[in-house]
Amino acid sequence: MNSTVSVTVFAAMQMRWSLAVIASIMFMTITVVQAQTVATGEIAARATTTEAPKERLVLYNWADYMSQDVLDDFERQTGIRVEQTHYETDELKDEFLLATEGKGIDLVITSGISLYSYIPLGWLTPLDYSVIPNQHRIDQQWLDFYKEAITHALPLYWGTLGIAYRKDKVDGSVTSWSDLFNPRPELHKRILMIDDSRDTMGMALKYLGYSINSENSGELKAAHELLLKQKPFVRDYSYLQLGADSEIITGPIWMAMAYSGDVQLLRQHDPNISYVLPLEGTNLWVDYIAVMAASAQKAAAHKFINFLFDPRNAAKLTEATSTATTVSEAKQHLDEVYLNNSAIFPDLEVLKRSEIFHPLSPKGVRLRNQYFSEVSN
Amino acid sequence: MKLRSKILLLLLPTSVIPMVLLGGLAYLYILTHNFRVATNQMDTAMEQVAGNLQNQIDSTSGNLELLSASDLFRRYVTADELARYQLIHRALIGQLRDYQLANDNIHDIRIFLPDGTEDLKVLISLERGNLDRTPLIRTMLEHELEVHGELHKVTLPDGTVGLDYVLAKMVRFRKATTEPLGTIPASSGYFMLAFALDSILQSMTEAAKGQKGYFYLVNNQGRIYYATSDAFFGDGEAAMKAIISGRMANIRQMEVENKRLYAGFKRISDSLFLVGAVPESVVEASAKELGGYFFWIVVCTIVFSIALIYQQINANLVSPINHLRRMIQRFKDGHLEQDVTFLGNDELAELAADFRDMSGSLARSTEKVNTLAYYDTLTGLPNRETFNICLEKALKSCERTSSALGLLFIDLDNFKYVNDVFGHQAGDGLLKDAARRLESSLRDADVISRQADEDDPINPNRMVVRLGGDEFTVLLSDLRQAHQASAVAQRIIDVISKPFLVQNREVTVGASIGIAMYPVDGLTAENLIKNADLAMYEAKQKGKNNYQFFTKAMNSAVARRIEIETELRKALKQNQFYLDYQPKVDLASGAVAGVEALIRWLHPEKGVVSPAQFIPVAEDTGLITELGRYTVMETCHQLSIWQESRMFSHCSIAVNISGQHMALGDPLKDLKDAIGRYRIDPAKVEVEITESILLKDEDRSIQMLNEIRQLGIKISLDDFGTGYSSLAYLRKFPIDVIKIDRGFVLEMERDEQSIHIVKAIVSLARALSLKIVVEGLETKSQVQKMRELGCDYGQGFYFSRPVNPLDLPMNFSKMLSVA
Repeated sequence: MNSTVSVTVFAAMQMRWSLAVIASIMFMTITVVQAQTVATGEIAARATTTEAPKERLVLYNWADYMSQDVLDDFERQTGIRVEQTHYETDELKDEFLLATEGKGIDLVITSGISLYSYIPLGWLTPLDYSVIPNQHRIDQQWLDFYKEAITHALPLYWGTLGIAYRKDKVDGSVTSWSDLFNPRPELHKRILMIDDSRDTMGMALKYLGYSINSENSGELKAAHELLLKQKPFVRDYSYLQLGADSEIITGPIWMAMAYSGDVQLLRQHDPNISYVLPLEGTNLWVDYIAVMAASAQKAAAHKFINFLFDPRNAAKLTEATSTATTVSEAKQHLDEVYLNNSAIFPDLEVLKRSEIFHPLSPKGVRLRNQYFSEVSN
Repeated sequence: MKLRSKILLLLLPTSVIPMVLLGGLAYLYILTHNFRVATNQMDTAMEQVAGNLQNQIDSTSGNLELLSASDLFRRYVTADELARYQLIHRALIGQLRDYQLANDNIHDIRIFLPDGTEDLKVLISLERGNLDRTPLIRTMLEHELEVHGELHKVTLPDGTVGLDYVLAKMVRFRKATTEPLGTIPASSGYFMLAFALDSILQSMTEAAKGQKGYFYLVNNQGRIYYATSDAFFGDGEAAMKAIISGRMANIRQMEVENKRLYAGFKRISDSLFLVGAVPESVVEASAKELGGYFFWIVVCTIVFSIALIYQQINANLVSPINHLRRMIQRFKDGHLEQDVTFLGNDELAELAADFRDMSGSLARSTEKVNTLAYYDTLTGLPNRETFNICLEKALKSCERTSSALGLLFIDLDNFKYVNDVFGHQAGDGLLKDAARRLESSLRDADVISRQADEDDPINPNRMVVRLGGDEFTVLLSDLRQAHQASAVAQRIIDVISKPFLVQNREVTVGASIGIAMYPVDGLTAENLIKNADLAMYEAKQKGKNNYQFFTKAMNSAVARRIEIETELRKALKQNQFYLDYQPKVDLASGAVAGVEALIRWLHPEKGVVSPAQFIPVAEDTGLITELGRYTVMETCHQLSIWQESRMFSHCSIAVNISGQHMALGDPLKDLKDAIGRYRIDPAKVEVEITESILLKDEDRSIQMLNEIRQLGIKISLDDFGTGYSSLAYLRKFPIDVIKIDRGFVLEMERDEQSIHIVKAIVSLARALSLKIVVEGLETKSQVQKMRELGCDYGQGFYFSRPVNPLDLPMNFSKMLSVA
C-alpha cells in the first residue's frame, strides 16, 4: 500500500519534467497549426496578390517585457510576424530549454549570466553583425558588461534590483537592505522574496558587505543564516505578479524584493507602491536577446534584432516596459517622465556601489543552490 | 438434628469435592493455555512490527529505483559541471523537494559523486538528521556494493533517540561520448534516501508495552540499534546474538545471562533483526492472575450452588413439611376444615391431599352432629330439625288416629326494624322474650292436648319451634276443631303485641300468622309448611298483626307470582324489555329538558305487561338488580345515540333505581360500567330514587348516593310528598332535584291545602337550590298553576305519554301559551 502510493506520487513528480516536454511539443504543434491556418487564411484572402506566405518568429520572453507596437510595426514593415511565449521563472526557462534545447523557438530574451551556460551548451547561434547595423547604437558600457557573450547575444535592457513596498502600509522610510533582511515586527509574513538563489543570496551578501559574487563558503554561510533569520517574515519565495491582482496591490504583501521595471508597471495600478534602491548598492542586471541555434529562420531573427535597436523602437520598449534601454540615442525620443524617473534611470552614485553578476564556479553555484534550497523549502 | 442440617451435611461433600477437582484441572489447563496464548500474541505483535518495517523498506527501495532512473537525474549526473550546476541543479532540487512533500517520512534525499563526496541534499528540516552520511557511501565504495541499506541512530530535536533507515544505490549512466556500447558504464554517483522509523519505533514500543516485554532492533552481530527499554538487558549484544543464533525464529523458552525468558526474532534483512523477549515471570504472572480469577469463580459457584440447593430444599421439602405440621397442629386445636393445597404432584402434595380429605370428612361429620342437636341455641326452643322429626311423627300418628293437626307459621312484624334500629343484640333479646311468650301462650289451659309422654323431652302435641330469624312455627296436634287453632293464634297475637322492653325502651312488634290444617290443607309436612307460609304471607298483606287460614285462592295467587317470576327470568334472558321515555318539559320555555326512562316488558304472548305487576315480583325475587342494570345500560346506550344527534344532545335521562336494587345489587358499579362502556357524559344521567330508600340503612344510602353524585350524576327524589316524607331528609341526603308526587296535582283542584304544601315545597327547594319537577300534569290549567307556583319542570300526559325515543316531540312552547 505504502509503496504504491509513493510510486504514484513519484510518477506525478516525473510528470512535472515530462510536462515541460509535452508542453513544448504541444506548443510547437499549436504554433505550426496556427501558422498553417494563418497561412491558408491569408492565401485565401490574398489569392489575387500572389504574395508569399508570411514568415513567423517565436520569441521566448518574460511576460510584459515587449512592446506590442514595435511587434506590429515590424510585421507591417517586413511581413514577419513575431509571436511570444512566456516563462514565469528563470528556473522554468532553464528546464524548458533543457528539455527542448530551443527547438520551436527562434529568439530568447534572457539574463546576461545565463549566457554563460547557454553558449557553451551550443543553444545559441553566433550573431552575424553584418545584418545588425544598429548594434553600433548600443552604448559601449553595456557591450562591455559580459564581453565574452557579445558573440552570441546583444544587451537589450538594463536595470536594478531593489525593494518595492507599500508606502501606505510601511511606516517610515525604507532606504536600506536592512529594512528587508531585518524587518520590523509588523512585516511578519508580509514579505515576498525572489525565488532565485543568485538574486536572493546575492543581495544578502551585499547587505552583509560582501560581494554578490562571493564564493567564500564562510560568507555564503553567513548569508544563509541571515536568510533563515528573515524567513518567518517571508510570505513566499516567488516573483511579483504584475497584474492588478498582484498580492502587493490586493494587500497580503507589503514589501518585496523586485526588479526595477516590474515595480514601474505595478505603479500604474497602484501609486502607493514605491521602489527603493538600497543605499548599500545592488545588482546591476542586463538582459540580452539572442537567436536560438535550433531556429530555422535565423535571417528573419537577425532582422528583428536589428529592428529592436533602432532608437525609436528602443524608446518604445522603454515606454512599454518601464525598463531602461541600452540605446543612448533612444533618450531623444523619450518623454521626460521616463528620463527623470530615477527608478528607470538611477543615480550614478548608487550604480557605482552596485555590481553585476559574474559567472561562478560550478561548486560555487552548487553551494548557493544548496543553501538557498534549504531556506526556500 | 434437624432435617435441614442433615441434608446440608449430605450435600456439602457431594457438591464441593467435584467442583474443587474440576477447578483444579481447569486451572492447570489455563496455565498451559496461557503460556501458549502469550507466546502467540508476542509472535503476532512481532510479525506486525517486522511486516510494517519490511513494507516501508520495500516501498522506499522502490522509490529509490524510480528516482534514480529519472530523466532529470540522468541529465544531472551526465552533464558537465557547468550545465549541471547552472541549469539542472535547481531543477533537480525542485523535483526532489516536490517528491519529499508527498512522502514526508523520507526526510533526507542525497546525491553523492562517484568518489563518494556529497553533491546534493534535500532535507525536510535541518533539525531532523542533517547528518554526515558519507561513511555509508565509503562502505559501498570499499566493498563495491551496488545497493546498501543500514540503520542510523539520530538525535531528535526533542533530545530523544530516533532511527533512520538509510538506503543507497549506485547508479551507472552511459556517457555517450566516452563509453562505447558493450562496456559496463562507470559509476555515475550514488542516490540515497533516508526515511524516519519514528512511527515504526512507536508501534514497537506500544507492542512491547502491550506484551509487557521488550523489543529490539539489532544487526546480525547482535548490536542493538534500538531497544524499547534498557531495563532488561544492559548492553545486550551477547544476549541478542544468543537469541538470533537460534535456527528457528519461533518464540521459545530459554535462559540468557541467567535470566529466564521467552524470546524469538524476525529477520528483516541479512543484517537487520527484530528481537522480542518477555521475562518468564510476566507470562506466569498473567497466568497466575487468571488462575486467581478462576479460583474465585469456583468458590463463588460452590457458594452459589449450595445456597441454591439449600433454598430449593427449603422451598420444596422443609417448608411444606413445616406447613403440614402447622396444619396438623391447628387441626389438633380444633380447626377441623383445613385448606391444604400444595402445588405439584410429589409425595408431599399427595400427603397434603390425604390430610385434606381426612380433615374434610371429619369436619362434615362433626357438622352433622351439630345440626342434629335438638335445640336452637339462642331461644332454647327446638330447632328446625327437631320440628321436622316431630312433624313427621305427628303426621303418622294423626294418620293412624284420623285426627286433625294445625300448623301455625308465625313471623314477627317490624322485627327487622328493631334489628336495624337497636342492633342485633337487642334483636336477639327480643327473640328470646318472644320465644318465652310463645311458650307461655301454649301452656294455657285452653289448649286441649293429650297427655304428653313424660319421657319425651319434646311434647309433640304442642310445640313452638324457631325456624330461623324471626320465623316460628307452632305445631298443634290432636285438634278437634279449627277454631281451636284460631284461638291459639289470637292468643299469640295478643301476647306478642304487648310492648317489649328493648334497651329500656318499649317497642311494639306484632305477629302475622298463617294457619294450615291437616288433612284439609295438605297431607305432607312439606305441603303443610308451605301453605302455612302462604297464609302467613296473606296475613302480612292484609295489614299485619293478624292470622289467616290457608285458602285455595292463596295458592293460585302464589302460583301467578311464581309464573311471573319464571317468565321474568326468561324475559331477562331473551331481552323482552325496552324503555319508553316521557319528556320533562322546561315550564319556562317549553323545551324538552330531559326525559324519564320507564321500563316496559313486551311479553311474546301476553303483550305489554304492566310494571305494577312485575316490578314487585322482581323486587321480591332479587331480579330487580338485573332489571335495574339493564335499565341503566340501555339509558346510557340511548344517551350515546343522542350524544351524536343534534336534536337531543342536550337531553338528560332520568333512570329509576329501586330500593331493592340498592339493597341487593350495586347500582354504582352498574352506572360506572354503563358510562364507561358507552363513553357518555355522566352529567346527562339522573338517578331517581324514592323516599323509602332513604329510610332503610340510612348511612349506607347516603354513602352510595354521594358516590353516584361524585360521578357527576344528579340525584332526583321521586314521589316527593308521599310516604314518610320528611323535609329533613332533603337536607340530609345529597339530592339535586325533587319530583312532586302526582297526588298533589290531583288534590290541588279540590283541596286548597295542597297548594299550600306545594308552595312550601317550592320555597324550601329554592332555599336548598334544588330543582323541582312536577309529575302527572294532565290539563292545561294544572300546567298554568304549577308555573305560577314556580315549578321548574313538568311531566305528564298533557305533554306526552312515555313514548319510543323516535316519537319524542321536540318543543312544547305552543302548549304553554296562555291563549
